[in-house]
Amino acid sequence: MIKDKLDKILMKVQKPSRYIGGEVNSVIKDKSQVDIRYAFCFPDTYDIGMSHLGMKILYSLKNSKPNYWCERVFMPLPDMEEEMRKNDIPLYGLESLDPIKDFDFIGFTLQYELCYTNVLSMLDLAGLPVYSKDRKNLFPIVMGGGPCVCNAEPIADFFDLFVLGEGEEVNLELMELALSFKKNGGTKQDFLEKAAQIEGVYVPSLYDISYNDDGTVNAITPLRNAPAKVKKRIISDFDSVYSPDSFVVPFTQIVHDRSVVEVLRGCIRGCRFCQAGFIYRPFREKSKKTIVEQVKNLTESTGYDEVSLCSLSTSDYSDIEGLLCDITDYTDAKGVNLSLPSLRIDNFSDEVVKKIKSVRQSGLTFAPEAGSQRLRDVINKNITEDDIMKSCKIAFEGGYSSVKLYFMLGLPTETLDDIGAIKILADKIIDLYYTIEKRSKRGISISISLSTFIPKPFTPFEFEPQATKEQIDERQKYLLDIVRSKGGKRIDVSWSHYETTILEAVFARGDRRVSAVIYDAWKNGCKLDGWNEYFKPEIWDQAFINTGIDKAFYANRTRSYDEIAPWEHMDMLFTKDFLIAENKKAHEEKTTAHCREKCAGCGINKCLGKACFNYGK
Amino acid sequence: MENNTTAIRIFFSKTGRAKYISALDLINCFQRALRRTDIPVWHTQGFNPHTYVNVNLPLSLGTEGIRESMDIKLTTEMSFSDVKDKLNAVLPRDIRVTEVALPVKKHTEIEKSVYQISIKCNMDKFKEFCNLPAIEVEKKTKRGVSMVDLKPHIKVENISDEGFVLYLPSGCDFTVNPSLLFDAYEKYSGEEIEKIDIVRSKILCKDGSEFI
Repeated sequence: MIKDKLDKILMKVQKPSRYIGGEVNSVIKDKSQVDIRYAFCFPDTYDIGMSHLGMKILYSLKNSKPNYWCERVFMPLPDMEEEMRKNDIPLYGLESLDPIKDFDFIGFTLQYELCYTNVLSMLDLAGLPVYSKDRKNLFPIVMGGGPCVCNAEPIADFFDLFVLGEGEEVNLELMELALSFKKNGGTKQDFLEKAAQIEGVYVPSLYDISYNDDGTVNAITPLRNAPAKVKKRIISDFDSVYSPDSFVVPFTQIVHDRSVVEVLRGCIRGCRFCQAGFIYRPFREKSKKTIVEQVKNLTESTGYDEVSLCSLSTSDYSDIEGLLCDITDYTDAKGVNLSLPSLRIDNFSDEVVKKIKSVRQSGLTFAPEAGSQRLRDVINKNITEDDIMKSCKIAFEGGYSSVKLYFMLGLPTETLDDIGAIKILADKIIDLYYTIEKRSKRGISISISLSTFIPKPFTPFEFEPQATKEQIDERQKYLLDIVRSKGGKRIDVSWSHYETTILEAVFARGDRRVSAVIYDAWKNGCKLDGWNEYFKPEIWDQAFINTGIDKAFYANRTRSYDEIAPWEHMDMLFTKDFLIAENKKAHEEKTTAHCREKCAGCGINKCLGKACFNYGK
Repeated sequence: MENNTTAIRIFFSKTGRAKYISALDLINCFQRALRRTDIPVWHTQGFNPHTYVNVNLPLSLGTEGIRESMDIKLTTEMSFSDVKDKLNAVLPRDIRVTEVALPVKKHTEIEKSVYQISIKCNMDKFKEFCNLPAIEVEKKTKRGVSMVDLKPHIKVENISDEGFVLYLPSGCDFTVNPSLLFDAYEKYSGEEIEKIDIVRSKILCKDGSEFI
């Protein structure tokens, strides 16, 4: 029994309640009444995974079927992994504490590229071979979903199948197919060939990839009747999409310890660097009534005293003021705090600003992404200096004295003048502060956070090179020098490490050959690469040498428009021509209006069978 | 104190998987459970009001308890059986309310905890350890680490091959965590205890009566 073994080791690890389940609203079923068992794996720690809304949705959805049982599985931290290996405890589901290698499905949600070694660690800890070809039995079927599936090639060899796009419907279809195989029999190969016929299912072993002499992809050939293009799944009736009435409430504090309600999917903005802004199209909203209902249900079933709204850009909800009024009517009466991450406040009435407690409590954050208006036009980031100043004024008058600004370095066409403009913007905010009569007694502090731009597939910048380490170092140093030379005390600058950024860049646009690096690095001890304290750059460097894979080929090379991308067989329902047109506009420093204002013609509306917005009004 | 509130004492068990909930997380867990019910609980007043709960004697991580207690205040009347049923409907499976009553004793009167110990180890060696003239251990307190002789503070009863009953000081003045004793035994014997279950069965007051 795993439970007895766990009792022996759990007192030796940090925060043991993460590893034992038993939380409120976790689902326990009678094994004898269950046909299909699904291990939902989040390839990062409990604290992070339990904060993820997608997992909560799919967990509840699968468990809403009486004969399916879905359990949660997370990546153990090294102290726990060591104890598990020492005591022969295979990776288990938190609900039943049964080993997941005996389950029917092992499904990973792939939210970011740096979790790939965690996937291998978890498969290995489960007692399974990490390569799909070495897992001969039909069950467990190892599948992946989430945004990284839009280019899953670097991890294709480890998975039996992927789900492209929104998972609510297709997950259940796959489970039904598995059920029919359980009844009627069949091999893994039979199953995968049948699964490939389900829209949105990608079976990598059914595609042959050939390469040109220069290393680029020559052809992607579907085998055994697999579709030439795998079409992304979307939920067209978003207002009535399945949404959970309850969340598992953890005992220990997690990253986002609150209820979360999704208000919309997709984004109208079209910022050219942002993968989420493209791959989650089309834009769809839930009705006010549905959202308020879900806020109520979740508050009552979890007992959380905080609820947060989730989307790529909540300010773009068509009736945001009305929505906030309706929600605060309920939350104020209940003593529940409403928090709104990254909400633009410049267009709100004073009354609404007052209503949103958290806007007053949490810090003031902007993501201009680029310092100059020229470069903001290149990336189509539709925030102007005026917007920032307006919001700052509201906030300063309300007693704020600190501002956080996010920028990216290494954007296409970037020059040192664009970097210098970051400092100029910060200075303008400081000047504004001292013109405000009602300002706080404290001095102003500005923190500038610099990340490195990573070109991602299915964005207009998928053709662009990532800036090299030398370029990034030079630009960082330039900014630091001008910040320190004048007025530096009020401005604090922080930045991300290039070593993890370039890995992310290689995986984001890598092809199948990249899997060799991931395997080699993992074999030699890499895991939890997203965590600074566990990241091992020297092992990664060695892995690239061992496998002969060239980082620069994947990360720092300009790709031509007609090159066959490793992800060319994925159909995200908008056109490559649109991406090319947007890329050209970027180089001409021309912006594209947001979708509600004018249709940009990406092609996504075909899947809805109508225009995304009612432009007639 | 607050007008028109009634303090009530909730007795509960915390067993199985719930033994890994830390004392602090347990408070959070009860506050959330109360918010999932319509029990009319009193909230602390002030800038950041929260549901008032008072733990009478925290239970160490990894230890089960079958007669733990926590106090809350009701702002309007509700029958004790309703409070019990409503809480049991929303608490995690391994935390069960066993009784709701008016508090009799004050938590400052607590002096001892009684633990049922099931243990797999060399019992002869363990008896020898218990009969040592002194059991010196390092004890961490808020003021730092100091050496304490546990011997005068512990009482072992009903010792058998399966386990025994252990009395240890608990409360505001002086508390000894059972793990102190077992760590000291492992150090003394050089033996790693194969399996141990610690269940707090009772809490005693200075006058020798049970804490109720």
